[in-house]
Amino acid sequence: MTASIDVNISVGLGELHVTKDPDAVLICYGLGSCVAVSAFDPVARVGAMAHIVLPASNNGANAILPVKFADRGIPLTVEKMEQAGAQRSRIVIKIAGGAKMLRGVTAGSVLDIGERNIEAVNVAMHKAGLKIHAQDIRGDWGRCLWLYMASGLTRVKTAEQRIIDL
Amino acid sequence: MSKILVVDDAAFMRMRCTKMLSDSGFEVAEAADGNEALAKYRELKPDGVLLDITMPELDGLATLKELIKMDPGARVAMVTAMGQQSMVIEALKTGARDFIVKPFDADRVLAAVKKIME
Amino acid sequence: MIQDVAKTDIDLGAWEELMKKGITNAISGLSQMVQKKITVDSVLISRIPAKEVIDLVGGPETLIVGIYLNFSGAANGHLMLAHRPEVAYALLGMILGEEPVKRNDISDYELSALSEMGNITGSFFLNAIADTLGITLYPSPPSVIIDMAGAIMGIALAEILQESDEVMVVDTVFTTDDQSAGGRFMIMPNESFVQLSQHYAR
Repeated sequence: MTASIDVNISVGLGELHVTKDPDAVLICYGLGSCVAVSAFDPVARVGAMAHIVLPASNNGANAILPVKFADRGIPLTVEKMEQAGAQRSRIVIKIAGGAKMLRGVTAGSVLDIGERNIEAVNVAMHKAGLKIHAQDIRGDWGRCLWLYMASGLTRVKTAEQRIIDL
Repeated sequence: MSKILVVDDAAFMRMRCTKMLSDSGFEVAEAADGNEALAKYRELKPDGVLLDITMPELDGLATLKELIKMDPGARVAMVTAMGQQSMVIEALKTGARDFIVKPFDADRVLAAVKKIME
Repeated sequence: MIQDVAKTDIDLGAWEELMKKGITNAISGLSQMVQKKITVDSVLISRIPAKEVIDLVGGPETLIVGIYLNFSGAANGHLMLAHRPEVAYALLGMILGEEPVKRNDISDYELSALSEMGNITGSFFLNAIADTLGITLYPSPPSVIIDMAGAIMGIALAEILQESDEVMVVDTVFTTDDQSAGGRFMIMPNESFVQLSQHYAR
């Protein structure tokens, strides 16, 4: 019996990765105010991870980083998944991040990028007809988010190695 | 015994300053931000104030302005890492009597306290 | 005296000289605070993707002690001291005049000493720039954050990424002369800060 080797794929700031590889593990490391979006169609076995950095683009300019902004990044993620064979109604969305890393920033203010990202992701999901199934968000600590393609398991880990399965 | 109010948002700096001053026989009170400094000044009427500049909410220069307004005779020395010429000029113009750039040693602090109490 | 500055395809001329001045003063301030001679090992000026900035400090999931502040006034930008925890604790020991802190539960008082280290380093950097150009640059109070590098660097990177996909970074690596500690001092300027060279080129 051959053991499958996990292929760890790190998804950096503003990046999107879509895959059908059952050995793939999509990971967003070191999420502070950023929000990682894990998307998985359990029937078509299509998975994606998007590393959202900011809520919305100011001036409509095209960014090279495809999913830097939530308002463009979420519809792009769904579109790419559908191109790979996923069905929108089956896609399971889980998110992590949106922390407020600086104590001096007032929660919910315009400087609280984490909170604004959470809100923007929610708005974009709603527009795309998608529900957020699970989340580990806010607080003032960093997170990593894993999506294991083999099982569809989505897992959060903190710096203190606290594990939360979403 | 002369009373000095030490204002700095870093507990470490307040401790350092307090130790240097109390070792030299001063009574010391502390404040962690500009608003607390104003409240304590009103309450304790210290003989001198050592005031940091970079603090959250109400910075040292704004606090200095309020202190001088409250008490035109207030004896204040700025103690700060922000040694830019424009800052020194503005602080002295607003009414600070001395300006120490951190990091400082005990001699410099004591010299400043002596100077502002003259 | 900083002699060599490595750059990646950028010709910044006068601004680079300004950065060297600022960094020299920053390290001098830090040296006074820890009461040890410090040498600058390298200075790199680069315009790179955000994730490569994070790789400079060991990658996004690496645990670091980050002392972050930003500045405003005539220009804006972000400054950060970044250390592996054991190195930060060695510096802390020097500041407090004690043995390096070895446990993980660092007290508020110790955090404030680290915060003050960032305040002095950052302020001295800004002081040199500001006085050379005859302007004022206001540092924010620092924040000390012990967490994954990605989460900490994200504070500066998110703001910069609003306007651009690449990040200008000036990365200085330094060591105490007795090799007992070191770290990196990173400057991530907004465009307004890079433009300051116009004044200097006078």
